Amino acid sequence: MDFIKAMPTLMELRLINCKCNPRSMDKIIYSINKSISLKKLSLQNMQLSERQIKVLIAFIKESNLQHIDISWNKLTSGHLALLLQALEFNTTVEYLDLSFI
Amino acid sequence: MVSRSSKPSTASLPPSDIFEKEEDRHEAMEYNGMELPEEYLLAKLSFTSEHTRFFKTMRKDQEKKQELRRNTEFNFAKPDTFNDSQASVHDMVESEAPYQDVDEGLGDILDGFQQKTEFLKVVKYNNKNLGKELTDSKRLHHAFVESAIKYMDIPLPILLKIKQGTLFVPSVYTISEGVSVAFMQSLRSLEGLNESKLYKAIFQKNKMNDMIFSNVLKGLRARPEFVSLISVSNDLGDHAAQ
Repeated sequence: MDFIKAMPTLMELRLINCKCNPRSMDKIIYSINKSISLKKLSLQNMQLSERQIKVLIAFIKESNLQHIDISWNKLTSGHLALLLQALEFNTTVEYLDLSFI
Repeated sequence: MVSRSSKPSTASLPPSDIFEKEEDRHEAMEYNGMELPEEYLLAKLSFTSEHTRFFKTMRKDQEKKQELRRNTEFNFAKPDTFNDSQASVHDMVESEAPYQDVDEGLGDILDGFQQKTEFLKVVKYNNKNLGKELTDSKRLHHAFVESAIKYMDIPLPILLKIKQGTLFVPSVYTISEGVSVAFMQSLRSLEGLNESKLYKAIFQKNKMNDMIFSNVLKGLRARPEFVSLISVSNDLGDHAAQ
């Protein structure tokens, strides 16, 4: 998402229950992955695919995110294991919402 | 001692002052052998002929004035309530009131007038300044409206919804294409508005499709201070992703 690239000061992005095709979602996740300033990320009920979730978890591992909300997405036990591993490296996360996964 | 039986005959009436003197003498006799009260003596001394004349003329003048006042235009047709024994105290007060307070009443009117003048001056000054601020704001909205009208859309006063740096567009508003274009163009400069900074935008179920949302995002990109985007139940497609 060029918007995220063009906004180096963007600190909060919440996309909640938005209809998004997989290709567009890929672009968004890719843009998020490049963001440095993002502190709060919420992707509630965005029907994230397995690949997107993996990219996101990889981003969480190295990012400065403080607030993560990925509730209402289809996360498997494998995804949760990856997420826990990623959180071992992350020292900034203060809030994590995994409701209704 | 003078005998009380020796009264003068009517044939040789003495002058009136003799009677007065006789009266004084009689009065003094009543206090014979006793010390006269000081107050009595002082009162007697003060009440000289000059004083008597003065009091008499003053009383006549007062009566004349009262008569004139009763015959003025205001009280001419009214009964003489002030001197009427049958009239109530309230009637008496009412009959005199307008004349007693006429000077004070004019003073009050003058004060009230001056206060109103000062108040109106302040109102005029405020209106002038408010009008100036609205002119800049109106210019921005005029551009916003013109952009929206090109797409045959009814513009919404969205820019006025920026409060404390946050733009919240609730679900009751549907952002159409024209509005989104207007949004995109107008967000470049918010200097005319009371809120010239936009930090946060919240779009809640505004039925925005991919293209419209893309236009809105382009508008938001123009704000360097923008830090937070929240979108609830809107479409994100290729355009928006781009």
